[in-house]
Amino acid sequence: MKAGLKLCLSKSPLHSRHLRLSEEVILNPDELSLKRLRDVVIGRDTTFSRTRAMALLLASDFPNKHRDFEVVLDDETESPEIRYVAAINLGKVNTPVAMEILIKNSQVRDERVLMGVMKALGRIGDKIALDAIFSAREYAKGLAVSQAKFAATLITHRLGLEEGELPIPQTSDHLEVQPYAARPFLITRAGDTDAEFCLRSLADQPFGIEFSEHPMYQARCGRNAWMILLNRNFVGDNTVRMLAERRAFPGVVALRSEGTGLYSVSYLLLTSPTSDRDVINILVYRTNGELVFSGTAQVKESCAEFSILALRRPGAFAVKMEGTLEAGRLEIHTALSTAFVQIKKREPSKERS
Amino acid sequence: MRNIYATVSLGIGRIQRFVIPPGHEVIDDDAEFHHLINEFSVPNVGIDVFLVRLIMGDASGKSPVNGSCDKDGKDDSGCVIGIEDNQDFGPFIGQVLAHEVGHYLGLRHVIELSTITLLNIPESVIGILDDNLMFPESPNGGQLTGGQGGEMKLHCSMRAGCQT
Repeated sequence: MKAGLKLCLSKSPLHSRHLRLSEEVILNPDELSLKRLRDVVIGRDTTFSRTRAMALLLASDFPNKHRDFEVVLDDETESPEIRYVAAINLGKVNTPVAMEILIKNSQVRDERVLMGVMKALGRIGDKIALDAIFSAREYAKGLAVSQAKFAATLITHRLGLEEGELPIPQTSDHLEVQPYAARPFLITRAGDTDAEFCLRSLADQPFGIEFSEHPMYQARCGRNAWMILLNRNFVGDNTVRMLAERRAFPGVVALRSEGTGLYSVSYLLLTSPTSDRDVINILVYRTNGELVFSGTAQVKESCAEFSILALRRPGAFAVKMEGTLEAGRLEIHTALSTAFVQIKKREPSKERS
Repeated sequence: MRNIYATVSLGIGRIQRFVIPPGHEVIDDDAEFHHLINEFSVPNVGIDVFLVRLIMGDASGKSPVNGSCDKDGKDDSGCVIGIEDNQDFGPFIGQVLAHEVGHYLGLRHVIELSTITLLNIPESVIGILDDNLMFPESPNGGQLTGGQGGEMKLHCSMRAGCQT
């Protein structure tokens, strides 16, 4: 709580310019700054950024903060974007009550708001949330449909359920890596300090799984750095057998911000068994549900030999990763990426004057 | 933004406006920013500045420091500004734009907020630092030093001015 409050109550001229503190604040600073913050969140006070106020509220341990986000999410006179932000923040609050509020709002009609609700539910939802998502999918429109489908995919993998269909990319969807055009990129075991910092960064980005502190792997390509984090449930000796038997959400890849050094979850690794009991499908999604890499793993006793390639999409680099997973330990044998995009980025259309 | 950059003898070239499809109105985090600039680009020598409705968290904009001039390369090429929240602060949106493009052109923050807290920097010093455009909060004084102007002029996206 203090982090958020300290920011509001900072003596820095800058903060006081943003959140000018009234004389009342001096009488009871904590309570009134909370009142001010909540007024900003619900749009009653417009002298401060609402998304920023929401971030401060989320970072605080103010009681019942889910109710403030609920007020915004429920209010049909609010812009869809701010309601979307409220929904995502409720997902980050990640309590049973927050989930109930999201489920209650899974019937919302606005496409963008529903997108936020589906996205948040996908990240923290359970079986009850899954039923709400299936129900919402029936009448969802536009972008909310794909978000609902992905939310269901995420939950079924996290819970190991067999419901819902999965995309099976064709070989022709893959971007082949031409050795002459590709360069190796480095994947190494992360040091303890980096690993701890990454885990702390991700503490407010719940995806319904607990990350293992050891091992973590760092990947570097150009100026970008990523961390590969494994689900704590999939780092034991029987990991490979479990992956061959049920759908799973064995880990994520988090991107390190060049500016702040903080990590944010960038890719979600999902696996599913196939009709061949020794082959596992690997699907790698962006957090918005776009499938970007796929591959397979060949199971040999307690070891899985995997190969992952990038899929064709605008702005894609050809990437190839091969290695083994055994007892929760990754060994990367090949990590190649082209230096330039292989599929042209999408060109925005010119604005009509 | 033109006024701010003019103080260090920098002009802004032609500004073209484009529209991206729905679905990118709100940027949830750094990863989404990264995905946005890696998916869309205008194939020209200009800097891609994406104007979205909202950016979640405590930033008004996001940009790499010393952004790439190769829009097909590995390094980030583009910056993003959240306009809805900044709209409430009307005149300051130009300042946010100038700040983020300043990053893109190679400028870093004059000080980080964490440093202010950690070292308990006195208000008198903050009062000087927050006159600068590259102070990490806006609104700030919006000023640039000659040194900062010189640094920006070294960026690969700089072009010689028009001859009169």
